Amino acid sequence: MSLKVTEMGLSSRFKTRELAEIAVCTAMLFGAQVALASLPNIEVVTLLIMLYTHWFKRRTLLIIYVFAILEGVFYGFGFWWFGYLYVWTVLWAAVTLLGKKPRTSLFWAVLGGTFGLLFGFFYTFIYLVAGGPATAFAWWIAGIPWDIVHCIGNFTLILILYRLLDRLYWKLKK
Amino acid sequence: MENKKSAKKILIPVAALAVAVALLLGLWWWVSPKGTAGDKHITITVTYEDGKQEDYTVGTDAEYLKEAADSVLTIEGEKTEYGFAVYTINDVTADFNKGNTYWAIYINGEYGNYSIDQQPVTDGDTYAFVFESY
Repeated sequence: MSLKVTEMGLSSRFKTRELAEIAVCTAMLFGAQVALASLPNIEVVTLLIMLYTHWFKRRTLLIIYVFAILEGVFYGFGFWWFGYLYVWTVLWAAVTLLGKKPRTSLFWAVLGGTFGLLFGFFYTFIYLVAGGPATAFAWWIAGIPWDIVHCIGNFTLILILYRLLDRLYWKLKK
Repeated sequence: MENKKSAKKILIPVAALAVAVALLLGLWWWVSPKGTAGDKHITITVTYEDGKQEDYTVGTDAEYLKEAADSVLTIEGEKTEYGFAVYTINDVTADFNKGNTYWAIYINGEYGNYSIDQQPVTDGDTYAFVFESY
């Protein structure tokens, strides 16, 4: 009986700690997005969501959707916002699928770069629904130079910071 | 041998990403609309929320719609990564970032797919700005 109580106590403490971690990480994600908002398509959201997916697995979805709501509250629930409901989940799914075996920083940098390059393409789905294929295609084409900036930014930041932040997290967690 | 293998492991994904970037850049250059020089006579119309319409006949040598429209309308908006986003025309605001209204652009009655700074101007065409909601 006493063992069960101890186990419950540990489990409850663990959950509280993990919840606190998730809350802090969500705040960091939102804060980092707002801080870098003035730099067009240079962001650390991709990097952080990739790391969170490794750290928190399925619970990352909670971070993603709280982040999406915070973005909507802060910037307004405009048309763009609907893209946030699936675009980060695509990244989460890709990292979950590909992260089943150990990968190098370079691998994750290439994945992040590819995600940045396809970001506009993923977003076309809401324009496909709203304006049809011609509008979606024109919108995607217009944004390609910025998708390339996004790709280079993601690739560089992930290559430099991925391993560093991952090590820092596990060091702090001990 | 081992060094060669690890160099390949690094080079192949990076090269694949670089090729994807180059292909997309080529597609963008090939497909993007291009304006033409020379005099054009066009019609610009603005339809407000209450259905009231204003018509302007414009003689211009502008290659893209923004420059031609700026000569007869007061347009406010911002340059975004997808082109110039129109929020206000003649002091009437329809900002899709803040609500569910927007300024739609029609070219000869067909829904326009480009922003006004990317929409080429063609002699004889009619460009309509219409207050719409979704």
